[in-house]
Amino acid sequence: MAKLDVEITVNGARHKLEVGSQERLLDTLREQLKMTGTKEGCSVGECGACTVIVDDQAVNSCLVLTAQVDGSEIITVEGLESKSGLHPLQKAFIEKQAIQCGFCTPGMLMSALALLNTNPTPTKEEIKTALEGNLCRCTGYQQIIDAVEMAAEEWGV
Amino acid sequence: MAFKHVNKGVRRVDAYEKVTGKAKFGADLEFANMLHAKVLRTEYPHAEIKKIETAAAEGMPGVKGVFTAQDIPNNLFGVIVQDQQVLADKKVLLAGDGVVMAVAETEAQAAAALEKIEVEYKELEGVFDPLESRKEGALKLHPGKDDNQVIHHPLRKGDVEKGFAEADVILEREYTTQFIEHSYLEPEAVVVVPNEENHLVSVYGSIQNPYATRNAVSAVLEVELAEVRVIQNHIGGSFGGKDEVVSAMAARAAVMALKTGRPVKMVNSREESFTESYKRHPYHLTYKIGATKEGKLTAMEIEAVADSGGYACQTPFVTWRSVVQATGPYEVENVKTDTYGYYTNNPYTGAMRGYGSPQVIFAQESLMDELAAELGLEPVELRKRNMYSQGSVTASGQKLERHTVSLNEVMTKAMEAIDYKKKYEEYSGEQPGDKKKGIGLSISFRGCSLGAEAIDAAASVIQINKDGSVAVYSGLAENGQGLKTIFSQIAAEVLGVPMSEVEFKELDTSFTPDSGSTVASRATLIGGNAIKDAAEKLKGRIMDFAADKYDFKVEQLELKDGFLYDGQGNRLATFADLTGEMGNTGILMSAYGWYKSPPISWDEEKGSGNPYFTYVYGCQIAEVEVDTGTGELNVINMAAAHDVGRAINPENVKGQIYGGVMMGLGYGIMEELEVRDGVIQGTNFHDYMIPTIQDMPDIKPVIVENPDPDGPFGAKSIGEPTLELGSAAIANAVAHASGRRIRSLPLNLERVLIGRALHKGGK
Amino acid sequence: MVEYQLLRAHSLEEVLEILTEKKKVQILAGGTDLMVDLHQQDPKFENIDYLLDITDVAELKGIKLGPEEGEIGALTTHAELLSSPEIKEKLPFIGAAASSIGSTQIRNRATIGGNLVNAAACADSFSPLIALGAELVLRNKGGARRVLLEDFVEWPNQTVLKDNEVLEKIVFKMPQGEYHSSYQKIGRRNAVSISRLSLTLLAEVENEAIKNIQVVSGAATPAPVPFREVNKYLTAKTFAEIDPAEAGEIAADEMVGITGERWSTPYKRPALSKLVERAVKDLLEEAGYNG
Repeated sequence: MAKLDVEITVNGARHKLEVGSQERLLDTLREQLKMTGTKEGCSVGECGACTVIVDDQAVNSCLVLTAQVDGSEIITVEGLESKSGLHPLQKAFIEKQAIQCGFCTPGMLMSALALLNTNPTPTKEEIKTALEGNLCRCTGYQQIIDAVEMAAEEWGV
Repeated sequence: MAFKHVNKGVRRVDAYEKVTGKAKFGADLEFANMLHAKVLRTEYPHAEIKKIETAAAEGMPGVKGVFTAQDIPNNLFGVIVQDQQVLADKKVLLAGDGVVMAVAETEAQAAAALEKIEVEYKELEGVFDPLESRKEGALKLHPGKDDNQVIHHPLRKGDVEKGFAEADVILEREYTTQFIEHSYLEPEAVVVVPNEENHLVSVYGSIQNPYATRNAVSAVLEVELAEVRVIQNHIGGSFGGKDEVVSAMAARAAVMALKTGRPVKMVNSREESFTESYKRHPYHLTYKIGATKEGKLTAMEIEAVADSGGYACQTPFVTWRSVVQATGPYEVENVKTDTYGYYTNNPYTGAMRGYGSPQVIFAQESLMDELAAELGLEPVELRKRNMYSQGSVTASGQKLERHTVSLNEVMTKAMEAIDYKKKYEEYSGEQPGDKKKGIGLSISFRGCSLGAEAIDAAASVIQINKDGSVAVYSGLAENGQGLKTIFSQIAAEVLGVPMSEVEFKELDTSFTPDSGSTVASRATLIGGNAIKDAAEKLKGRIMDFAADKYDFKVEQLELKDGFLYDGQGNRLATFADLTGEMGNTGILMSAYGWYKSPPISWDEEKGSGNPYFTYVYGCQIAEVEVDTGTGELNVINMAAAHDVGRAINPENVKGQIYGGVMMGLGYGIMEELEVRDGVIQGTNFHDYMIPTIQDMPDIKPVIVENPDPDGPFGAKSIGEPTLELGSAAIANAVAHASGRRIRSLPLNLERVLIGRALHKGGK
Repeated sequence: MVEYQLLRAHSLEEVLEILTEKKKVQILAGGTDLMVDLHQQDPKFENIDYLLDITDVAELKGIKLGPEEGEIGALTTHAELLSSPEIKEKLPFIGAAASSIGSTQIRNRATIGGNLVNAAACADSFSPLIALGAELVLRNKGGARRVLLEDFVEWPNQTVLKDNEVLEKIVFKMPQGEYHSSYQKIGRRNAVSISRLSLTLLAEVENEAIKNIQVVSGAATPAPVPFREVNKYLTAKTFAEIDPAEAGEIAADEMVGITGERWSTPYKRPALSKLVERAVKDLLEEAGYNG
């Protein structure tokens, strides 16, 4: 099968890639770019572990073909930490004990980031809506909500 | 006692890796020259394998080998009973049994090869209900067994005939519970590397119990334990679930790694995980209870029948915990309990958080509310008249005296946290409209750790490096629950060093000592004691050395914040300099820690003895709103009070409570793995629903601390108690709100609205 | 093994060109259903040689609500629907339905057109649009035709869309005068949940009476349809003449008349009856009737 040429920007770095016609964005990130922070939990868009940000929107990278996002800007969990240190969301997740096994964490962080990027002062209900597509079996969600609230406060300042 | 690190909500030691995506889980691992493998699983719940044709698959591009049971040195394994097949040999016993495996250069090639394999089956009649399976003359499923019984645990106390004769009220009720999927977010994954660093095979992956997996792989390969090395990676949730299923996976990959001489990786899709993994046991429970009109219990007769599915797996021990705890935390003079497990051709069932307690608690705490209503007593009052207090004697004859029996305290604190009394009164009155509110509670006692199931001991190693940094090794495994952090806190507390100086190392069976499995909420209690033991040994050496060097008495010296102090608050040395000097003097700066639980006992014939050396107590209360017009059920508020002995990390304990409450809520109101004639209906998260963030009630965690004489710093257990209480509390709240008593889980739309479940294709 | 060639179109013209020239083309929009089929290696891929990605086609996007008529481009995502102030103000039941679909991630990708063309029995986009009397504009290279939405689905997952056609947009008349609406959904959990039942009610009222009404259910019948008997019962009645409970009973009877007694009927009958009763009650209340 013919490969397709695409160009995507991931965490600020541009990549010219050849992708297969069935290659999902999740596959490209994990297998071609070796960025394994994005997780595969269900492959059908139900768990949100593979959530990344594509052109400012949280999407399930298991439900998008890479060829569909040619030219897009993508942010993954690997893009959060910068030279100046951890992102306020990462700090808040650590501070509020919003992590247990950590498998849902990258997707949670991406959904939360997409929210705060467009809505820096979300209500609790808005946080829940932003994270309703991210399943977590360990934490019971409360400390994740606490963390997003904390990040919103710190980041807003 | 003032603590420096213990009893504090310090940050998780593995948090940085996990928020940056650096943490490597099983599926993230890569090794040079690695192959990928897939398993062909049967769709038949019971069938003879007549013929397997693999030639076409072997010739497919990239394929390096296709294997059947004939290629497995020893095809049977199991933690308790060795009846589980690595690959089905002559018969498949459940839909999902692996039959053939293929290994290839890529995962897609391995998957393509499976499509070319032809297996000829002769379908057999199946048994899909343990109540059928137990009948005389039922089709026998396991060759060499006289019947389908996996296990029977009896318990006899007093004389139930006499007890029921003394009763003014007798209730008989039946309750049923469902198959539950663990639903860890990470599907199972392993990589097996052959001939690495003087080991025949090294096993990496999402492994809950590295020693159990090592046992299984070595048994299957028929090689010595020392030749098998298991290294645990970050594990994406387990909840009891990544034991036998991952062991089977590791054994398969190990066979293929040795056949090909190359690393072999296996990663389950979510569908494969649903299809092959074991589940929580469905129970059929029959309770008969007698009480005087004053509300004093006189007798209980209980039968619990568990569906073990195709294999024994953990059924013998799961049903044992049920027999110990079946009466609930109530004083009853006359008890007759029988718990059973039976083989069927359903998915097999094993360990899952709670381990035989959530089922009996749902029944027995629902029953207490039913009895209270019958007697005209408030639910709390009936419980108070019967529940354990200090010195009470349990159904098995154990006197509860060595630890604090805090049922009254946890119940009172939970009631205060949710304003129970006011709400109970308010919702007991008439409520206009279709939407009715109700409040319900449940209480439990739970034996900590393994109990009389097995030897209960754990080990640790602590090594102080020449620069004063501290490496901690444990034979128990991080499952996401926070063990690394808890153990690091304990080590830091004893050694008087900052948390930043403590490094927790991954479990590697080559050099961490076998500590059994990370199960039964035993890690903090048993493993924590082992850490404390090693740290105290080292501290003893340091203090002796320092006392000698500085000419002080040991009692005058103190290790704190990475310094040695004299009694007057003067710093004498840094921890690093002191321990470095000790190392250079030739003093061993490593120590093994060991902890073996206090004695326990069990008479399997009578069901009597002291099955656990200590217990924890909990109370959960649910406030619900029931839409009596549509069957929609909203859990609005929950309070969860748990006596943990001592919270080593209160923030972490809260995390366990929130998570357990939500898992219990899923168990109570929405989760059900539908199995029809042995076949799972729907193998992904759109069919099997677990709670989302939108299903979360407002949860009030209440940590109760009554330090246990045998716990490290008094700590006991928290992981499992948090999930066992919710379903009964919610069922009681629903009955309070709507008047409808639901005796089967889950309390889904249909049961709440019309009182029974409906199934696709059903009449 | 699934095999296909992926094509990307950047204009409607290009889409129609490809649909004319090539056979066995499956259109790919948001992908939230099709990618699931792909993961499951659905047998339908045996009849697919080309996957045509249309997500970049700007002509298929957008919401336009005029005073008389409205239209929604087929590629409009559920996220766009629920965040549209116009929809919120004029057609809140469309926004309510959109917000009940999937999760934030799903709504960011999934399109209203995809929901309709996929035509699952439980698809949530149907009932609000059927209540509006919406028509679909189905276009091929030769031109466009309009199909009433309630005639679009033949049976679950099967529509009258032809191989050479693409769903371009959804068009409808805007409700006039004083109107009230509601959307209700019952699922097995509070989010990311497939409808067990859903219900849209849209009514134009005048002088304490119902002028026009549409009560439409989702997931009650194999293909979503308006409840004609309920509509008949309610139309032209004054508020005082309406018994919401009776309306509910009529709807339940009508549903069972269509589906027959099924395994789910013992639940769906009382639940649907209640949804309709509530929708009618709410309507009367909103219209200021305190009878």
